[in-house]
Amino acid sequence: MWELLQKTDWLLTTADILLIAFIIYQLLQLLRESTALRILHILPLVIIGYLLTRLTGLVTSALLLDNLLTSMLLILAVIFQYDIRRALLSFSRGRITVKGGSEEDSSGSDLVIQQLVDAAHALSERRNGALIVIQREMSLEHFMEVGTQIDAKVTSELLTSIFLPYSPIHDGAVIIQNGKLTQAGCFLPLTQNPDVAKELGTRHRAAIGLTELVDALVIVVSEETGSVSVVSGGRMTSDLEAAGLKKLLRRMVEPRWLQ
Amino acid sequence: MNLKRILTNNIEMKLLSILLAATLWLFIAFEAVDEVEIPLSVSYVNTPAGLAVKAIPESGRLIRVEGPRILLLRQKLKGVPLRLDLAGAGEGAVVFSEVESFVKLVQGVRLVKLSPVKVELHR
Repeated sequence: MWELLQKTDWLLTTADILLIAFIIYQLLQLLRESTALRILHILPLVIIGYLLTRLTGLVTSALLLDNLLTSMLLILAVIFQYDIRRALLSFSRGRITVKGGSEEDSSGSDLVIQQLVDAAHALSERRNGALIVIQREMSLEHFMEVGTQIDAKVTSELLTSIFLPYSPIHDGAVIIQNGKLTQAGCFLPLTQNPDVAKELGTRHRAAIGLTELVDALVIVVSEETGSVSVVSGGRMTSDLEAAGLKKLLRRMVEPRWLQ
Repeated sequence: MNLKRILTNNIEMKLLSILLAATLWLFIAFEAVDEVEIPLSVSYVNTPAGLAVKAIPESGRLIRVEGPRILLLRQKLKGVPLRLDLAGAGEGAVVFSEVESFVKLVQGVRLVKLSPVKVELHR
């Protein structure tokens, strides 16, 4: 051990470790918000455990940990599959050149946002639960297999009528793509994050679950309290008034996503 | 943003990254193949009465081995004992010609050079 320490060029080694730490940190940044991140905490323990078993000659344990470390890359790829997909998509998204929207574009998107705000306000007053998904960069085709195809202009009246309690499709989510209401009654994946507040219902969990996987933005109206929330990237902004919701939507939804 | 804020921002993830990088470095450093010399400790068993064995000079007792550093470290901690059985040694010379067969190495460690190659005892 001492010889190894003596042989080591400390300046180079420190630079080496810091460079690797920087790369790992950047990767962890892409995977932030993920509960699977906790699994990485045990990786140093497995490596140290493996070295100790090799040092002490615990053959069976060393063999077991050796095999575990060999397949670790595959295991991590399976565990982090959603995060890797999201990270790669967000990476490629960052390279897309965003052209400045024309005034016409922004007025068109403003109209859609106004309809969404009116619908959320009306649903909130009636205490009708609602789940409205706005597609941004990433496709939502995968979540549209179940549901009813609509293809209609986004209007407050249509949205409120879909979420009326006696409507056959009121339980699912509606999806808005390129400024059009394309699907209703869709089922979204629920979040598996144990840190999500227990008092949150299925609608909120579905909104968080979907936004953990894709970059969509979800408006949730609580059936119990009537509160309006916006969920993006697994994070929720709750108790929004009409003005706050409008401001948030204008900030988070680019006009080109509503065209 | 000052340096302190840059360093302390998201400190848990930064520490985890350094810990992961350090353990990866340790893993690679200890798994790298190296070559070391270890002193050979020669001992004699069943020495016949009246026989005195003149010790082999320390400079002449050396073993050179190669393998992953972690196993070399284990070998060093364990030492390399060379036990020569003198039972039945009578008049004349007793020769241990293949000394390496008496040396027990940790699995995964390979012998590169051994000195002495042969041990000869005269009475």
